[in-house]
Amino acid sequence: MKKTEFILFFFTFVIFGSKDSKAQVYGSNTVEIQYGNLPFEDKNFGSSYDQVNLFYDHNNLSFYGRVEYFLTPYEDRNYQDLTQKRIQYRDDTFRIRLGNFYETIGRGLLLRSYDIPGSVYEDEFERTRYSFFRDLEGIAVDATTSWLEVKALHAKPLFNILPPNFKPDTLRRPDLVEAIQANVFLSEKISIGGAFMRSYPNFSNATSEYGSFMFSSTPIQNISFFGEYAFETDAQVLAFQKEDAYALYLGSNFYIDSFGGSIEYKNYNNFRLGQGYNDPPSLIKEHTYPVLNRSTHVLETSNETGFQFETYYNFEEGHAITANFTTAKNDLFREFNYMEFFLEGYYEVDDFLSIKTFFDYADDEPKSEENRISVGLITDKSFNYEWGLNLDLQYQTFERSFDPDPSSNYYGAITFTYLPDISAGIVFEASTDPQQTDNPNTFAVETETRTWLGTNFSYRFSSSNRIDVFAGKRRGGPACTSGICYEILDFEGVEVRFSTRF
Amino acid sequence: MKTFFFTILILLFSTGYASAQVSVGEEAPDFTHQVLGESEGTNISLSDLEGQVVYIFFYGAGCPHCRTNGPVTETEIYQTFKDDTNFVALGLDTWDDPVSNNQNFRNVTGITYPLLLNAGQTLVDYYGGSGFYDRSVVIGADGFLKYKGTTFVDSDYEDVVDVIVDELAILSTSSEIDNDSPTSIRLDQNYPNPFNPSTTISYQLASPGEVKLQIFNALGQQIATLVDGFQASGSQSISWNATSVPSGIYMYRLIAGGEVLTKRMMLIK
Repeated sequence: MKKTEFILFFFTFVIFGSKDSKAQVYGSNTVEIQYGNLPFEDKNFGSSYDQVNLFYDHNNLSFYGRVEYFLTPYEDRNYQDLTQKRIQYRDDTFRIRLGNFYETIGRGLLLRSYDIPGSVYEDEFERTRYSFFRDLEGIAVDATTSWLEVKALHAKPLFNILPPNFKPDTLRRPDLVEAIQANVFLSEKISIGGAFMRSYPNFSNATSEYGSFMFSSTPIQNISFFGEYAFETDAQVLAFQKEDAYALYLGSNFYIDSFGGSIEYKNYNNFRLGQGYNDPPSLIKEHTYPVLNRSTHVLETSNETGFQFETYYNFEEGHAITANFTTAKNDLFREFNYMEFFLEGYYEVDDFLSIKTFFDYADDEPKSEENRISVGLITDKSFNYEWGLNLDLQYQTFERSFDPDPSSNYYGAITFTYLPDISAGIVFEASTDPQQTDNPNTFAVETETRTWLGTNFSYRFSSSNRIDVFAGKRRGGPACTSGICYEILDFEGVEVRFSTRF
Repeated sequence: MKTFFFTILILLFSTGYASAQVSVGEEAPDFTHQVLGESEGTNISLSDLEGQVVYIFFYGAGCPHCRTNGPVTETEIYQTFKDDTNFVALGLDTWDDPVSNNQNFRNVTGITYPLLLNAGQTLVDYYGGSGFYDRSVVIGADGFLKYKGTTFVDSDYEDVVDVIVDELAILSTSSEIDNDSPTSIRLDQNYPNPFNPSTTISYQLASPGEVKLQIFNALGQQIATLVDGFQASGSQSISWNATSVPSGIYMYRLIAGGEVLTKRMMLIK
């Protein structure tokens, strides 16, 4: 019997075998049905993706399983798989997890796993859809007291570029890591810690070993300092030599009354571990505005230095202003520089009307986008606290040294809401960027402006059930969430998503 | 409720596709792809490059780390070997991105060797999946895989250089021994050289057998096959008329008796 089958069998057995009325079963289910295709392809087809998350808690024990199912007319894209399973024991100070779990060492310089809830990833070549997470499979133990936090793990991170139907399954977890971390809370204001990690990259018996020191301090109430320094153990500590593998991250937050800010510094070198299971803080402002989110600079851990400075002021009337300045430099076999200045204002006209606006200027050498200017205006109007109207207008333009004409991106959305359950909207986008207008299926470079028009509707028909419907064309491209960036595909057709919790 | 859990159990018998891939020491799968920057229909096939050591950079034109790692393939690999006529470097776009994205990729990375389009399937042929981009591969003159990278190209370029040096050394040694040996095949320098528009290529076969004599341009593309068939032993010569091709450096390659010999010639119009 396969390990996964055994665990699920055990899982099911416990549920049926339990007579304890205190036990709890709960979970969630997300079904997403699409009919359509990529805009440059001719043939429409239907697909169905389903994700079931099931939890069973019984005293200190809990069991978890995630089943994913994908069905299309193309057999090689389809799968049905138990993609996660976990057994956990937990009491007031101690926890042990066996199976699939999420864990971060330090601030992610050495190891970080994640799950992006609700995301469904699709690779343009494989055309298989699956949830986008990078978990660890193995065993983890942690304990927490008032003055000490300790964790240890032996696990294989998921190489999530490969879909669940990729066989052999072992290739989806090529790296093995063993790590231990301890943090001591010297007082309520100071904590220090250290970590050690041994890595067996890519099915190798050869090992790499890393150490890490971290600290966090709040000497006075309105200022804090934090940071981490991680390094390969055969490198000289704090020498910062070009051939060494190291990562240094330092930051500070502060505020005085309504004024506050943060400043962060990074210096990473030769620090992409294994197939990329670590995620040092990127120190790049991650915007929610679509034109800016797609332009998010992606961290290059082979070599990147830079800093981020952000400041804000909150006015008594509810208005706010935020400014951010970010730089990054990649000194590889060629130097790439990135610089961004961002300014955002929020103005509350009255209880029923608010206006948000932003201005962003960037020079982005890695993307070859110079003098990139982005602006936006978002108004939110409420009628009697029930009906609402949101208007979102964004514009972006940039130059490429080898393109004679500047490129532009346009975004416009209007959304009606009937609180708290219904919203409906229209999203329009257009682009003159040749990388968007050019058809990948032809040799010629098409330059005619490309447009996307889509409609959204969502209805929450109970506290646990919600339906979202999209129809039309949707623009894809890079998307970044919580420091994780990935590519999403354009889509043209109809999509219905049904989410439920039970 | 029971039905629900039984459904989950049934789902355990999951389906999946088996990944076909090639390992070091096996014959490299052939491919043919359009060349970026050349007229439509200008393709390069791996089979055309038989007898040369081929370096491949599998990249994605829209892949952020491919853009920042791309320069290492140009400066540390291509620039190191580009003057060796037995060496060819190719970049293969595995994201099947539009031409404009690849033009942007070339500008950002500064890569000067040929970039080939729509190579997603080729990556799958080599690695078994489409997720293994930003990788280096080296194919020997015998058409067999000599190196298959498992990390991004900036991490293993020194290993790649070592493999290419070894593979080129094997070719060089083979050519020197063959030319000095009275019992092996021999390839003479063409005459006249430089030439316009025709030149004569002479060679000697120690034993009868299948013979192939091919002409390649500086991009490594095969542009003519002068001989492809069985020949008797002894001295042979053949004339090549280059009226239809532009001025430049060309390579001619003799394949016979399991051996490969290459020489260079110059056409000046």
